[in-house]
Amino acid sequence: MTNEVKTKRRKTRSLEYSDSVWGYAFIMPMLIGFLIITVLPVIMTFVYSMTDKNMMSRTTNFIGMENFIKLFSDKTFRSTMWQTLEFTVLLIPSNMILTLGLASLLKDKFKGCGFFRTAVFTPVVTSVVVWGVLWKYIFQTDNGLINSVLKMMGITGPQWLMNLKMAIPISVFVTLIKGLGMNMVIFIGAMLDVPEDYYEAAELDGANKFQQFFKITLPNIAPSIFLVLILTTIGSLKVFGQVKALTNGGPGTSSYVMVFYIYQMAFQSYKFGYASAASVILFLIIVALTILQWKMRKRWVFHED
Amino acid sequence: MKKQTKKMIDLLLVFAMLVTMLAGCGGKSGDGSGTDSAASAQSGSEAGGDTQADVSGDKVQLTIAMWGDEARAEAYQKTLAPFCEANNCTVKIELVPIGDFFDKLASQLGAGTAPDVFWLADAKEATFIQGGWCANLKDALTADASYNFDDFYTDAITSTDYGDGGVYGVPFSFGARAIFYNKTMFENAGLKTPDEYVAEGNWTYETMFDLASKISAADSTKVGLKLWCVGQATNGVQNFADILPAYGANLLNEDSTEFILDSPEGIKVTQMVYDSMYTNGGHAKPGDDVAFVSGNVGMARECYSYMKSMVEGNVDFEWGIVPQPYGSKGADGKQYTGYAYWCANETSANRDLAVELVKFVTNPENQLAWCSTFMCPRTSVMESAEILNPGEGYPAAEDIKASFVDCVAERGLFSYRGTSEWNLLSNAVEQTYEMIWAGAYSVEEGVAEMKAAVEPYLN
Repeated sequence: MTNEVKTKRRKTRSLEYSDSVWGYAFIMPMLIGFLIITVLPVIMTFVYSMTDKNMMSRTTNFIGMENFIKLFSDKTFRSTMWQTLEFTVLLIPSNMILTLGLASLLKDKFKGCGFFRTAVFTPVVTSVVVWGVLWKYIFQTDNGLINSVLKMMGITGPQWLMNLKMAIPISVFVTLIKGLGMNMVIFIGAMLDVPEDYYEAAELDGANKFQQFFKITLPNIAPSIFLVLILTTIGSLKVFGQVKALTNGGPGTSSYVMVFYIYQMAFQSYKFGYASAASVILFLIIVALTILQWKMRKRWVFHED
Repeated sequence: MKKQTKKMIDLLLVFAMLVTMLAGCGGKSGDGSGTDSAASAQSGSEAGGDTQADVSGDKVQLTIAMWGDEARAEAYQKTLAPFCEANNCTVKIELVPIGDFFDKLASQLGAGTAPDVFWLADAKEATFIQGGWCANLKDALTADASYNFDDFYTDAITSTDYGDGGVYGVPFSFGARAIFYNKTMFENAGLKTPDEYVAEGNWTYETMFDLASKISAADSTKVGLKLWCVGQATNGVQNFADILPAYGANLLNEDSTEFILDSPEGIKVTQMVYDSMYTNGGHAKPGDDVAFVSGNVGMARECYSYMKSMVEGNVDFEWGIVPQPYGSKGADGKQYTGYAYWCANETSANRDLAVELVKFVTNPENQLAWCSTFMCPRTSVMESAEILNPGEGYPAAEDIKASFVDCVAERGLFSYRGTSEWNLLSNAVEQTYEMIWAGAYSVEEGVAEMKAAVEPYLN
């Protein structure tokens, strides 16, 4: 090997080394922040889940799987899991159908489309608490907007928020209206990316609008549908703000959802260890569902880079 | 040599970036949630330490956590200025919304970053006192005759005694309530006003519920009665706390070791309230947020400071106040109150100074100075001109005295003795009431369910 080649290699290595140092230097602030703000609390949650940590106590003991055993024998926790499932099952299909419908209607430019797009999107940028409180007023029994309108028509409205069967559906409705805009925007973006030629060819073959939607639009936006599905599933499993502001988990515990339960355990009864165990279960459920959806995507997401 | 220099420069730059970043992360900046005393050095800790003394220059900085607005924090800074001067310290006030206050305080105590002095209230103090976080103030308060320790109402000053005779919080506010009524609404409905019933000696809960249903029947857009702070503590422990003792019932016994709402009297009162909401009408429904100040409510149970809201609200109707009605127990039916307390952090590095601050801010002069905001359970304050003659637009002094002072003297006060799991107990009570209002249980079934739900959290 000549000296010239050796020198060249040395220079290349030196450059690579220098680049990597700079690379690490630039990602370091983000990396350290991520480790401290995200990774560390996740690890601590796993650690606390196996302790009896209580914020009002100065001692913490390792208790193994005791918190998990207690959780599964806790009637409220079991009903909370079912209610979270009910929330998710009601929210996801209604969200997907409505947002796909809205995106189909608002993807084309027409007079006033900007207004409608803005109107649908505005709740997304509204504070969750403000949104929840606003709907709480709308659903009040004697003084709420809905029952006042019904009263003018001679109808006595129900106690919307003091009704065991209505609490979860109303929470779903309020969450649905709030989140429509974001998913609609994702779908509009995906729909506008579908080449016009496909529709022209389909029209020449005599396909009607419904056939075009199901045979062209849906398969082509499948990656976006997949993304929205995952985001909405995770969002619905993690719902908290709307429930806290709207029903506060009531009546009774009929609208308790997982994160609300975790909040109650951690910040009302100060049982951090117990709440951490519930968080771990929620974490595992979300991971499992996401992996399942990811595996299933191969069956129905065809149009993907 | 050249290569090594380059490497050194690279490493130095990386190090410099890290140091800059970490310095940035650790920097202190005001978030607008607290105010420093005028003398406070700007380098003071924002959170206020309790394991290490906060020092601003050569002065100790005490941190106080309270709820309220900036104006309140500034006013307290003025109140505390002589204390700061005398003790060569500064004070930083952290304002936390009351909804988050106790959760945040618990987190801070657990993390070792709690303030030196903090407020507690609503029987939630039990959790903190029994956890050993509050300093016993008794020796400091009783050592100084000018503090006039015996001036406090007995129930108030003993309410933080959990068995050892200690005083773990000094009450600065209590919630004796009166019935506010809309005179104009009563006149329009052609009904006798509550003060007429008081004069006749017929002012009972039965009368009040009856009047409420008549008001709502006369105008369906009006709410006859709002017995509790609807929308705030919708169905909590405190909601029936006045009416229950009026009939010889209660939710819990004196030391919160037993659930006693399942007595015949307890069932009767709960049924009365249920009927007022759902059968006879008149009482606001749970969750319906209507304010007396709006003019749409005939009668409401409100505290002393609500008079200020009425006066400042420039309402376009006439209103008055009367004492709370009598039940079957007459004058033996004690009046419920919750207390708010000044507490010193037992684990604070500045514990003794924190105790002195609590003593200073709750002395007779300062409590009198703050009485227009907080009705303090001291005899000297309650009988002062400041309480009885608050100013123009307020009810007459004799009405205020009858409703807020004489009533307490005649019937006596009681407060619930908190338990170490008071939040869970309170949640269980609220949740079961909600099940009754939602129609899932009859009153009797609901009370039985409540008993089972509450018992694990009793003392």
